[in-house]
Amino acid sequence: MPHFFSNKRLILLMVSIIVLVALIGFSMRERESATWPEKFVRDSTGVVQSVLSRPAHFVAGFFGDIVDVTNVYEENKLLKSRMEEFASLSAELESTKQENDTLKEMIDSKESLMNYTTRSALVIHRTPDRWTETIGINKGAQDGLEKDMAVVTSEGLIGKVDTASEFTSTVQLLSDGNRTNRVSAMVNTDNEPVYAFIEGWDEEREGLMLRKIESDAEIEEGQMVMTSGLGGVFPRGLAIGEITSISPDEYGLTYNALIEPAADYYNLEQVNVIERTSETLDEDIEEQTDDEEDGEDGEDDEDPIELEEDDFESGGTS
Amino acid sequence: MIRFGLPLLVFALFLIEGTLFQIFVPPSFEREIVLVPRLTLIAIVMISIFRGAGLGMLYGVVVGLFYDFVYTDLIGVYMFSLGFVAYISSFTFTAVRTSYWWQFLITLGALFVLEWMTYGLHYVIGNTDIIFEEFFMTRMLPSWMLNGLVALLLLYPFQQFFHKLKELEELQQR
Repeated sequence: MPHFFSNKRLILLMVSIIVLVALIGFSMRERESATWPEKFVRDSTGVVQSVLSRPAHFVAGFFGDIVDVTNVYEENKLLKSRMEEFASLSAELESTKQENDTLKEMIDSKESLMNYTTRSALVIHRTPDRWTETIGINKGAQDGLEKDMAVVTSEGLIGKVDTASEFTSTVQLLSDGNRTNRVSAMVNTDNEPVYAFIEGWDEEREGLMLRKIESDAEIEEGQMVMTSGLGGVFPRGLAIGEITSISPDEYGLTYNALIEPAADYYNLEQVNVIERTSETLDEDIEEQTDDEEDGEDGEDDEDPIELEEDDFESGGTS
Repeated sequence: MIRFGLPLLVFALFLIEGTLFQIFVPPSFEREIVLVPRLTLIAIVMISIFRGAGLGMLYGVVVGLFYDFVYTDLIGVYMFSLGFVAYISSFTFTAVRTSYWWQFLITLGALFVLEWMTYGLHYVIGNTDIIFEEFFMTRMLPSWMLNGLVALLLLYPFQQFFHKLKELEELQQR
């Protein structure tokens, strides 16, 4: 540690602390997109990471397969017992789909919040320091990805696109503790669906927090939670998880629930990025929001959180 | 060729941290401890010891900036802490350069400073609210064990590498 407190070095230290504070302050802001040096570094390392991660996933998958082989017998027994259930379920699904289609034709509705297109992407990195929970994928703005698109695995929703560079994007997982990490969700009950928000990860009880559930809602443990499609660009009906416990919030006005996630956020290899094809709920609500916020042009300029709440209210009452 | 060896090596370690390590040692739901690989830090400490504070800090700041850009969205945290750690670990004495155990001790110290600084910064920002004891048990001790073990393996090849680099430079100067 040579001459630590000599004048020149002290000044250098001061200046670098100021730069540090400025940079952190700059990057903590809600930014629409990343700056070009960030994009450039991300894209160029992303190329190498894609090349590197493909064989690595293959090798890791191979060892995983070996482990799987050891309990194939047990699994096979279980799956066989589920097979019959599956046959009846798929028949039921088919008939429900047909019924749904005819009903839709009757009311002339072509678009639904359920409709979406998917793009598959490879996971190329994960934040090693684990203070934030983000992963990198090898698809970017060139492939049509945008900020806030939903990212899923076959099991369910895992997060949303945080920033999209040209050829890579970072995905903020649902387990990330950031305050802005919220998703409009609904609970499937026997009657009307109950709308609420997923607001990050509860570190102590290890589960996702579902907040702002209305106090008169009929929710129970074991009910499924999925995306409502009301806010932002998420489609409706992506599985998030299952309610494990319910408790009143600190003011006693609403309920909080703890959700056990449906998807595994850890062993990620391939993920799907989802783009909703229908733009808004329906024409009534679009007009309504236009009237409320005259002067705002187009959906692109609207604040996503504001839109969420507007849609939430009008969607909840209808 | 060996001139480009050092940046390539550090870049390779950087990629291993984020991509390969995460694939082969995936973080798990049940595990109480958090394993964070700090391979680039070991390389930066060795550069600081063998090539002096200036080059060490340059590597620290550049690698930190890459780390911030690619892995975290918070610019500045690693840029500052890696540069700082590179500076305070630049013990360029011959006794340290020839002693394996001194280098190992300095690496452990650098690990502590880096983990503690990043924890402190994230605590101040509000990304985490775990207390210091919990941080020490779930992050610091596992980090020491994992990265100490890796350092034991990596320090010797690094020593050889820097000795070779020095020999080559002396040859070129003649």
